[in-house]
Amino acid sequence: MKQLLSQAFNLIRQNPFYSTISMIGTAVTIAFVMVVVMIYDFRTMDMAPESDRSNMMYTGPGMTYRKQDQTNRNSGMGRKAFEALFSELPGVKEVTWYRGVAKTPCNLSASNEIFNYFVRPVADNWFKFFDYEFIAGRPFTQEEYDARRWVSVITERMALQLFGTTDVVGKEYQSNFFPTKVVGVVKDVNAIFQTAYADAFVPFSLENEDYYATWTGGLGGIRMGLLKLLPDTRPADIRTEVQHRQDRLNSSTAEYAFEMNELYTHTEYTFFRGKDISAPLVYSMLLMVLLIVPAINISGMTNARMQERVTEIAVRKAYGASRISIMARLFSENLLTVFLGGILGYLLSCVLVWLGRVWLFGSGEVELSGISLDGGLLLHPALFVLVFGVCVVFNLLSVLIPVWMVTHRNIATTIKGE
Amino acid sequence: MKQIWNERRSNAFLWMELFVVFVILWYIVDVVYVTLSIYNLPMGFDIENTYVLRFERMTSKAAAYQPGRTMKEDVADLHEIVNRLAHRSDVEAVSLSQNCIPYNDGANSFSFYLDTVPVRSLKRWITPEYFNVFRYRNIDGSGSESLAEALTPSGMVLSVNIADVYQDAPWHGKELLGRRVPVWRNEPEAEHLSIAALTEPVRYDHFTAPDDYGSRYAAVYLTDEEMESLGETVYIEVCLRVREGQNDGFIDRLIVEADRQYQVGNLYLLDITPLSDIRAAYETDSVNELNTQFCIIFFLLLNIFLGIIGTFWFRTQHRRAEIALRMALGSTRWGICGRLMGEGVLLLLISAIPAWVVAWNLGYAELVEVTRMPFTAGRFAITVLGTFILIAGMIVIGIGYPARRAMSIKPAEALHEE
Repeated sequence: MKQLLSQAFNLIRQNPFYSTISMIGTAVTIAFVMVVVMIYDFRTMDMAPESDRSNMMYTGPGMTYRKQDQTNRNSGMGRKAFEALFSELPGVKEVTWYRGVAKTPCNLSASNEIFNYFVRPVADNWFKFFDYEFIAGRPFTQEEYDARRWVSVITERMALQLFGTTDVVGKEYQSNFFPTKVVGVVKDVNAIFQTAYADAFVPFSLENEDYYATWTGGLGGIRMGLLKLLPDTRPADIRTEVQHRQDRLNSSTAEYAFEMNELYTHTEYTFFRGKDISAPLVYSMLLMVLLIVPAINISGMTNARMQERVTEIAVRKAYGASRISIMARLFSENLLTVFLGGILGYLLSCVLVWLGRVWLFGSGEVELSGISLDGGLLLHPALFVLVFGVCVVFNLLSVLIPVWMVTHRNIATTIKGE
Repeated sequence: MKQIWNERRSNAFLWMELFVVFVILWYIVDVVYVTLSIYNLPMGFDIENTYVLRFERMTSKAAAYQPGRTMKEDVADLHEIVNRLAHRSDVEAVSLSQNCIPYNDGANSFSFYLDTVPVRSLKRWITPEYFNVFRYRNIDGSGSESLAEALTPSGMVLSVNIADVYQDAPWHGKELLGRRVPVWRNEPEAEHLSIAALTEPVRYDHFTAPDDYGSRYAAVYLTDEEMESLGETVYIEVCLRVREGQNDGFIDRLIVEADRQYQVGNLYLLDITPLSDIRAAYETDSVNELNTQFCIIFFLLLNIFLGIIGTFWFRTQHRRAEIALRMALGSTRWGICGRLMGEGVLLLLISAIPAWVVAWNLGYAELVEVTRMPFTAGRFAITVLGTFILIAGMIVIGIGYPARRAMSIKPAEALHEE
């Protein structure tokens, strides 16, 4: 083992050019692969506060229309439609609702300095649905929610910027010029969590929900729904059941009908929403392209390199080494270079993801400058393991064919000279 | 050529890599080509020096609130504010609109009938000054003022291409001018509007194709009654254009006076946003996609570069004797270099031909992007040529360094080594 290691180092020192190119090639490839994996990972893995992404389903916008002539179409789901379709669904653990973030002017009553924050109206069980970390206070209570009190839960960053301290439970500020009381402070939420993200959370009951229902037969509104499935439930079952309920709802003699056209799983919601493209498929194909092209590359170079060692290998064979052992040896020599390249590549990928964070993760909806990737998200332990795995696979791919070709050459012809 | 055949074993890898990369690179170059060609088409309007403002009704808890004001009075107050804005020395034009600023995240639709053919398009629900704010252009070359005069409660303004996709329509383009058509319903008692003017086509954003739904619109007069029925003034967009040369610090100047000048009745200035910010937010996703494609191109080209430089390095090393012999027999140094380059480009050519066949088939089978631009021979020629040049460039650079080393071989030494 030690001999193998020292031989491998020697090889690198003796062939600086080949090793450098090989390492750069591997590093660049692994960097790109890791960036792609990280993007997919950050957005789909179960991570607090969205600790249950794999069991979540999102409702689409929904549409109301006049039954008789299909006109007067409006998008949006109201309370009546929501409760008819989603309350007490079999196989669903929890249901909650929210509205998109709205940029809201906030200030302290005594001060004229106005800050714009993203405020999200949420249902009463929002803080049970997601995993926020409270550093002070508590979520709003059922009583506060039902009584439509102006209370809010704000993030650490907002508390510090507005008040200068996080010890602000019970204090008041103006949100859209309405006096609002802070009941809780949570740790900052990264903007990557597109649904759980906001600077402040206020009760959904404050929204004038029923106003939007007036021109849609009571069915329209502004709710966006979330479902948390029990582990055994399949999304297809939920879709079927919701469809049944919808048909029952629309079979009444009411003037307007409601259509919940889409129910997305988390992956469907995050990538290519609404388009008929499978995200896992696209990402797998992308990964294949990113791996295969450099693999052919390095194969070619390794092949050229192997020409020089043909004699050495022939001699080994003559002295009784089996093909397998020679192949194994050649693999493991190459492994060191690939391994070093892999580490380099992983570091490079972290740098790339950090530099390009706004581009890779931002979308038009959330504050782009709020995306910060601290060590927690980047140095995820699972990713380390993944890097190792990719290194090994890469090594195998690149070296397989040239090595196979070289070890299957006839000894005699080789030593005689080709 | 003979040499290439002789070394076919080691050329095989290079050939395979060039073939695979050519096809993949071509696919991406094709997508980028479509996107960039569309990007640079004329937009039909101009957002430089323009801003959108929103005015909201104060809440009853605000100090300056005047209870008992109706929506009708709010709209009158809004007109007063607009009047004051229009009279500023640094403002050129001010308009009101509903849900149709350029690059807006949402749009209203409109439909009217040409004879029996229904025509659907975007709806620009605006006051006449909108054309001056965004500098729409009349097809008769008279600019925007004539459009502002043409838009009345009984006359609408359309984009000249509005009926182009409707082959059955009896009139297209210029023939539409002056006609009186039913709106929303094709009945004699339905509301009728006359087509008072036509403008050059207006695209929704830089990524919308000219024949897309988003590139056709009908501009309809936004009356006071319609504004009152919206219920809140915050839904009405106030757009203004700042005079040439006076744009610097405009927002600051405006906000300083906002409390005194632009707070009328219960309305106050909620926010002011330059249209360029709105454009950036809307186009973010498309721009990110384009950037990703550029990255993949860069990745593929980098791999070619590494592969070529690696393989040819070893080649020149192996062929030292042969090169030295050639030089001894009279070949010039540049001749050696040229020979190497030629070998590389020839290899590319050999792998390019089957790649062209594959590419053509992909295009013919419409597996490439055809929604925004048809797959024509011209598109094929340009993209294939572009891909060829990109890869050839990488080859030339990649062979460059090894070729220089080859050129500096001293024949006597090299032959002596052998």
